[in-house]
Amino acid sequence: MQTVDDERLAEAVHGSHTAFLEPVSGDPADGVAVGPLFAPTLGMRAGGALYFWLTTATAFQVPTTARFCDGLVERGGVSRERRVDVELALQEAVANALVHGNLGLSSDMRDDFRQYERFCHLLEERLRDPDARHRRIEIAATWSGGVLEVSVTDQGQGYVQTDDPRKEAETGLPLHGLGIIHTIALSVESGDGGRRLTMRFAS
Amino acid sequence: MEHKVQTTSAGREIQLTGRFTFADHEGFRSVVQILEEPDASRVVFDLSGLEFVDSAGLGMFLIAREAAERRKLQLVLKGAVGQVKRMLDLGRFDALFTIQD
Repeated sequence: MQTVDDERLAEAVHGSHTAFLEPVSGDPADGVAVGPLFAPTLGMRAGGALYFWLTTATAFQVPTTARFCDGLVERGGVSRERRVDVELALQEAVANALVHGNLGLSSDMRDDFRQYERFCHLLEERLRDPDARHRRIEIAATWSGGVLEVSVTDQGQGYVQTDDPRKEAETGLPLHGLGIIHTIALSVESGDGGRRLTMRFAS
Repeated sequence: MEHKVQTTSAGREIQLTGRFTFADHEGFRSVVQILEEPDASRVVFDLSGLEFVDSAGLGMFLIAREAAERRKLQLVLKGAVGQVKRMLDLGRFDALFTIQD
């Protein structure tokens, strides 16, 4: 696997730049952008923006969600108090995008003891596959007026929701990603054939 | 996530630290293997150094529980704080595990 410099990612997020665009790992498929210059690209209103695009291999190796939320807090996208909830919802969205989207692994196997070994084996195998490991994940956030909007986009086959995740959230056992996200977010929308999830939060 | 194992007169204690997430499936295999060793009757997960857990991390605790049940091991989750404690509460893990402060 390529060497990823997590320190550089942290520096990019924490830096004083109003805009920053640079490959993080030496792979042009990895990068970070922050600041209002990227607003038109993201279709944002006045406020701030933060944007990561990372290969699947890189997103597995660095604490992607934690770094993204460090940037959100530093730049006023979310308060320190709200960060815990936003980080959890974003973590679940990123996990779904990487594991089920870009790597194409079924969620049924994940928590089943009898299939755990097979799940780990397949995960390892897909992370070695040149196509799968280079599929990108994009995380884009914009914020203004007390609302933070974050979208997570993958390059998988697209996920089609068959049951209502809000029902799972209401049962009090939100052990799966979408149930947790619906518990926390003000609104959740799926787009691009199930490859993009857009969440809005009180910031 | 990183883990350290200690053997005491009361059994095995496995200290988990850092973030326990979807990226840890591979690393958690060696923790499950500890539960399958024949000489332990009680295993305590010390979670006091764990900063963050997601639903995949909770799922891996359930896998550990099933591995422990197969060997009739007592499994204890100890010392969870902050976001980790909240996730265990949300998942109603007190009905599934022995939880200690």
